[in-house]
Amino acid sequence: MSPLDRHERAKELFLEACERSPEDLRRFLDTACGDDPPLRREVESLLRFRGSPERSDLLPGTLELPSADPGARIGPYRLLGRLGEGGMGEVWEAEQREPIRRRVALKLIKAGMDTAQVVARFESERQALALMDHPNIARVFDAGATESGRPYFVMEYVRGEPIHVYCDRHNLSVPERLELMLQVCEGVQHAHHKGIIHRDIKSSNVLVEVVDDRPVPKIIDFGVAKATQQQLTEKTMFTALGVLIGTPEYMSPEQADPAVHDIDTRTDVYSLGVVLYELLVGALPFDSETLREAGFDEIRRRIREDEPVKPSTRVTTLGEGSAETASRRKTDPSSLRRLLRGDLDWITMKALAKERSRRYGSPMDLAADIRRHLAHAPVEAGRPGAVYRARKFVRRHRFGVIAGAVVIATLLVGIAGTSVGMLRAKREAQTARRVADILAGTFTELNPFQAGAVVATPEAMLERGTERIEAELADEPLVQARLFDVMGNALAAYGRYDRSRELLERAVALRREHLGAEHALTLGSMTHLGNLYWVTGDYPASRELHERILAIRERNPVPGELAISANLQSLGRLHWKLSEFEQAHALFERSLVLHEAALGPDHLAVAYDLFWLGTVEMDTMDYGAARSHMERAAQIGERELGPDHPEVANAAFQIGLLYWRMGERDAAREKLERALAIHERGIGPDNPATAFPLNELGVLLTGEGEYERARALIERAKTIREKTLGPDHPDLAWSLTALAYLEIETGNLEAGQRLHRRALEIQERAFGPEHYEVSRVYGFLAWAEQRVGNWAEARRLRDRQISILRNVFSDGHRRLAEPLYQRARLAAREGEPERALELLREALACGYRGDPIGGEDDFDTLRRHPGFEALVAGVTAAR
Amino acid sequence: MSDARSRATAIVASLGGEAQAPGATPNELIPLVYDELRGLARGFLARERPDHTLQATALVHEAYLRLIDQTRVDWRGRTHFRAIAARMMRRVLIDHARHRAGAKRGAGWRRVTLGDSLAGPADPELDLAELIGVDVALRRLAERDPRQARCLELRFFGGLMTREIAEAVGVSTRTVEGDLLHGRAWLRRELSREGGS
Repeated sequence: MSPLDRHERAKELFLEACERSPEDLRRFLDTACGDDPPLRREVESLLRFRGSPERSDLLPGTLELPSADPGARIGPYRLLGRLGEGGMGEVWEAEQREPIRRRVALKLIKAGMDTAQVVARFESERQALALMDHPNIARVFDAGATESGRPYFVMEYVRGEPIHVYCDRHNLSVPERLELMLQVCEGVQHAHHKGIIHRDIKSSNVLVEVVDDRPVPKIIDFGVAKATQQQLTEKTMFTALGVLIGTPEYMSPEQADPAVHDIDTRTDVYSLGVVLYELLVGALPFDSETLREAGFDEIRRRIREDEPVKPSTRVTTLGEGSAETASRRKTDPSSLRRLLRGDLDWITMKALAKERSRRYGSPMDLAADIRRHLAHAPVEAGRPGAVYRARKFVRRHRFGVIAGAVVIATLLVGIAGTSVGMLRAKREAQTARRVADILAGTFTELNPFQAGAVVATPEAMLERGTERIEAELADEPLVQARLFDVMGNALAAYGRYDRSRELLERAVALRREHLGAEHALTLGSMTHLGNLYWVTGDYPASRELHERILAIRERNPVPGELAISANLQSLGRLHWKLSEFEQAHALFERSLVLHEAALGPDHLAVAYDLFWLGTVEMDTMDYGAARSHMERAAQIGERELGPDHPEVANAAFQIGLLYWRMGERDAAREKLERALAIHERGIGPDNPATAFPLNELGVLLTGEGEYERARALIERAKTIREKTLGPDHPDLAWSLTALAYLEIETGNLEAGQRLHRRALEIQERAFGPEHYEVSRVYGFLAWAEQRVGNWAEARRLRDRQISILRNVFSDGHRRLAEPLYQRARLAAREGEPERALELLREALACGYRGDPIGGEDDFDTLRRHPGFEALVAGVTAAR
Repeated sequence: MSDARSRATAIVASLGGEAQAPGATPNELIPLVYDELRGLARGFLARERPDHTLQATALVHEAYLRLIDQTRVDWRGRTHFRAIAARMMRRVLIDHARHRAGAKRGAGWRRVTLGDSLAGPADPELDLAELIGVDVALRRLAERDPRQARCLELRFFGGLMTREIAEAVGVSTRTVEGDLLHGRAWLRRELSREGGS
């Protein structure tokens, strides 16, 4: 008997044996397997493991509830017709006969709650609810329990539709919508006066009824949330079977925080903010689809941490919906955007503030600001916002702001001093006085005690000063040029790149016109402009400018002059950024030679050159040279600057990356930890520079499987970048890809890919679609798909990555090696041996030095292929 | 997500019923279901204490609710969905268990409840090592009787009822009952051997 037959036979006998009584069993087995002891042992052993009789099919299918029927009676109410169904239950139109005859709305809550508790909680608020009497509030009459034990609520029957539906259906303009919003605020304010917090304000809980041809919003469901809501837990947000029952889109941050127990009236202010947002924009601050896709913790995290996009920005990002949204508001997209920008952005964002203390204190305050806006008076939200931003800025950059303030003070004094000095020499006292006046005027405006003072941040100071220089010094081009140059640099330091660029370009133009193209001052402004192009990622422009400056300086060499090495370094960095490693290397070597000759081998400038040489060598995988250059740079840095200097931390960081690439993960980890520690002690835990070691350490730890710490580190890096650099900065994309990697490693492909796509958007916006950074994200996306076996998608993404790289780099570039190798694996797996081989050859020609090629399973289809064998043999021999 | 949802619904609707959606095959459903389950398990992992128990069949049910528009799918569609999900659930769990076993440290659920009590009423949960044991034993069983192994898989990882298993596998409920009764005893015995008792 084969094992299969034996199994089958044993099964039959076992099942028959199960039917027998214990007394009968022995006889049965004797006859059934008398001459086959192994079979008997098998059946007997199975019987011993038979366990308890089966607990029949009780498992699934418990979700459906018996619904009520029209005509049914619940307490003194008779159900008439079902009005709707929501997450919590059904709403019926019902008739009350005793003690008065009236139409009511009866809300029948789904089973599964502790009915006695629900009713008890309602009772505790009944008195207060009864006191509410306001045209914008639907009255609450009663609550109780059905015979089958489901809680129900009875309230005024409102014949209307949800406010957002009403507004859209009637194409109400923004001011008309705001008028409705005012009434809603008044209703909520009234409830607050009576001591009632709604806790679940949302657009579908605000019904608009038309009374005497006027729309009157009425808020329904007061008292329901309080009575039915326990502390927000997973259980209350998801039923046991995973159905979302809460409304996370309108939930305030404190409601989403299980540690917060004191929900107060400002929770309703937040939810009013969401309703306002929705009425203005036609979308929710947090998109329902993406929010609900996320897990419980992620939903809560977003509500508590993510800043929603401003209404004016959001209306432009609705795609085709933008036009629809605008026309529903009797306007066009760009007018709508202008209408929302400023006041309405501020008002909405203030209502939606994460911290309660920064929100409007009450619905009345919110309404007051809306009224101010409608009356074209300055709104409250604007002013405290600016002060708040300044304060927040100071808190976050304590180090940077002090430095910044000193810089600005010196700068302004310097401008005043030198300009005045320069002008006095030319005996143009009148102009000198004008410059001084401008500066004095700017400072006066900055005095917060001065009437009409509007600015308080350093950026605003610069901006204001610049405006006046523009307007009032048009007849003094050289003075203006100098001021534009200085102001342009300062604005760049604050991230005001557009303005900075404009000023620097004008400085260059003015100096070129009045001093000549080769004047040292003209070259100085050009250098500043070239560096700005670098910062903003406009590499071709930056390169072009630096090459021109370098050519001029090479034509007119000044012995011992080191200004030229600044251009060499700038150009070197550019070539490196554009992955033109040979040129970059040559430029840094030139700078190194200059510096060593002029300053000696232990100067910081030398360390800088060494450091960059090492960085370039790291990218060309010349690890030995990179290591010796970087370590030497770090030594100089540490000796000259002390062990706790930020530059020392940056060096440690870069060396950590190098060790990591070399496969020395423990050493890498130590360096990254050190960089992090120095930065945290020095420039502070919230500085963008600290984000680098945080982020990369997180990635390293993800690879080690230490997911919890990794997540904490990356999240911190991400938060820092979001807060200091804004949501569109390319550095933020690195945190997103890091987080994506973590998600994918921990099995959450979908979330990972979503993050990758966000990173992709950022990079595409920053660098344009055909850029190395963009291609990297495609590589990550492809890797993730490959990892779960979505081969077709992986191939598509790989091809996109490679096509970008081919556009950016010349044939045979090293950056193409790894993607080509990965693409070859895909081709091999799809049974295209010739294509795979061709790709492999190209990868090798580009200098591929990764995994040993013979070792990959994916090349199984190529085994015994003569070309492949020859190729592997060639590579092995070369090593 | 909504794409995945409408696609999944179309496929499942065509599996269960009359209207064949053009080009819809169960294979297309596999990655959708797999991703969903992985996401759910991952979400579970993120929000639970490390010592928490994961309920396999609850996740399958949740995946169903999230992926399928129930108004467009009858009970046979649901059965087909859960039959596919059972296999994916098994894979998700085993991947996780293997990964856990390999990882040096870090949190994550360590115990799993299957759609049927295998270990007995006293201790209805399995730890991850036992889960791998179940997987290995099921594979051994599949070598002897693939249908029986499939029935057990549907019950443990998909929580299907007997008549649903019968529908999914294409045999009588009586046969399924026999397969389950014997298969459970067989598995328990195999697991007890693994445990060394």
